[in-house]
Amino acid sequence: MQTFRNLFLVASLIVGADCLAETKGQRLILNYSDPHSVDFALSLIQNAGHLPDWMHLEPDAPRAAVGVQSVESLDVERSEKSSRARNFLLFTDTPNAASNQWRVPSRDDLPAAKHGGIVKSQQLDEEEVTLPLCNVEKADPSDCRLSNVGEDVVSLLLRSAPTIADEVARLHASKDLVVDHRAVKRVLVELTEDEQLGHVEFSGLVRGRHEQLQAPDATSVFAIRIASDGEISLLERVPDSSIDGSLIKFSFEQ
Amino acid sequence: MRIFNTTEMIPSFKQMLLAFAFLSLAHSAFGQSNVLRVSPFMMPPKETWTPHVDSADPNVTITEHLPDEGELGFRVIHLRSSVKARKQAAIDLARSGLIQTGDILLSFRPLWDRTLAYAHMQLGISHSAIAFIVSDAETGEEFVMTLESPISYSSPLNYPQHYSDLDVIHVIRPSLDETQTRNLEKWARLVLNKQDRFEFFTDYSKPMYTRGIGGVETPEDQIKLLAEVLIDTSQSKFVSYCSEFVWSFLGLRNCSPDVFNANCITPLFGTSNGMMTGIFPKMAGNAGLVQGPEAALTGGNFSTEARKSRLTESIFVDVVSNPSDLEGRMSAGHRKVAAENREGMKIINGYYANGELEAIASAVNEILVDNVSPTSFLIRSNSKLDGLRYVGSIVFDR
Repeated sequence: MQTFRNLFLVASLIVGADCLAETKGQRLILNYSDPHSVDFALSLIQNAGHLPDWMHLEPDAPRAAVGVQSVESLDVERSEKSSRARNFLLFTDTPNAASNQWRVPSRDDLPAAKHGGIVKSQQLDEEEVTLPLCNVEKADPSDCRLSNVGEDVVSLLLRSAPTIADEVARLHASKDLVVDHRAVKRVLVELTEDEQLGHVEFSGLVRGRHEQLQAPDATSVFAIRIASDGEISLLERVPDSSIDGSLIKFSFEQ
Repeated sequence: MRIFNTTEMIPSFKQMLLAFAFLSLAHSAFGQSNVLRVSPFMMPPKETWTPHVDSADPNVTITEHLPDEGELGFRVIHLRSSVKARKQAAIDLARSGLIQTGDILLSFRPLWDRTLAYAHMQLGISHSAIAFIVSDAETGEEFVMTLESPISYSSPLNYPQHYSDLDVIHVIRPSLDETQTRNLEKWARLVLNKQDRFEFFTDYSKPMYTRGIGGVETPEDQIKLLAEVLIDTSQSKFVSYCSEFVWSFLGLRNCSPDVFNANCITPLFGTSNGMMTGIFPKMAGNAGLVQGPEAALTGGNFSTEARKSRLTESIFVDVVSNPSDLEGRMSAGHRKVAAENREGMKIINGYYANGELEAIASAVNEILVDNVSPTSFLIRSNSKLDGLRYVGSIVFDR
């Protein structure tokens, strides 16, 4: 009986270890779990050098953004001209913090963007706190809120905003990169064992200057990683093994 | 070694074993991937699935993902997340026995759901490749190797520009006998030996036979050209997009490079010229390039009314109006093609809204050249045509 109990314990440990292995360092593709956070995060990282001062978070500041709502642009003409313009309303649970409606400009509008958009403060009310999480099934972002992971990503970007632009520019220069306007943009989040934000990876933002992306759904091997402490680095995804046709055999060759 | 006889085991141990088995199964069942939460029209009808399959490798498990409505869904082949874009994925799949030489691998983009009409029409499929089971010449270890266009993508599922950001791969199986499989392997060997003879063509609206290439005036001529390039009776390059390559390659399944004669060429699709037209009204024995959603809903036993409602109200409709909202869902290239085909999608919507009139179908077919898209293989499989069957969808979520 003792032997059987021991065998059962060993088997349980094996199953348990497998379960723990899955939750350890969990990776989330934010595009699926919280696409509206992705939209917001992309806007932030692509305009990191042009964010208004109030959007820069101190390293130890609490979360500034706990919700997002799509709002109509008050500047219709500008909105129509710029296909990349989006409006976000940030909610905050800190009454004194600036929470403003701010229009993310397109690259064409960058000089004007320095003057900012319309500023409006709004606190999260009781009804908004109960909004369901945004997910891929909700096409209209006005009736949902960002996930906790999405909020963490947005907050990380806001804290890192002052350095993102400079660091990305440095990477561009040192690794001979260019902005990729073609590939789909993906946001991959790695959580720690205790489900805290470990790091965020952005693929599809940059590519090598001489890197060929032949097929329409190709993405560059280069991805930008931002760690939870704001450190920015460049990943180069390489094949873990190459194939030499002379070193493989088909069944008819055996 | 002791052999355990359960009839002799004490009851408390049997209970422990049952609990252990239950926990294991529950653990597997609850490892469901949220990437497959898509609309039913993107799912293959259950009647088109291959018969029940089992995995021979513990690192590869199988579940079913079924929607609340319709007799369709996904047979989900779960691989470990750690093997995505790594050769180990190819090794695990070979060990599982779930992939066979000649299987067609389709890159599925679930994030195309609820976006644009054109992306819906393509059932979220962006790319196609062919799988081979090969072995390492030194170790004998088997793994899956792809052949695809761009030729540089051909790999044990680890070419980073494609496989790093690919979350789901559909597997469609053609009916191949042993001779056909062997023929395809021989042609594949020649492709690997002559990779410099292959180039990628970016315009999917212009199949090879429409490009004014000498000697290539019909779809079958494309298959013949491929053979001639590989046996060196032509010095041309084979310049193709992904689906052209797969379709042309499979058209050589009845041909051996040892004794090639063009009479052996057999296009994969049983249509008038081997490729697909736009719309085949009522899909009586045929299906066109635009009829992927229709085929899925028909095979999934949706009522005529339900089918029409979905086709006209949510499928052949642009759901997302702001291009910025698509940055995280599809590439600029696909967005551009979708925009270029926007008016065409309205016509298709009108076709379904007005009772699928033959006159509209004929008008659509007049402006579309016969072609093969990556989605074609799934459309033909969904329509139970050409002996194509759905095996499953590979995800990396364990």
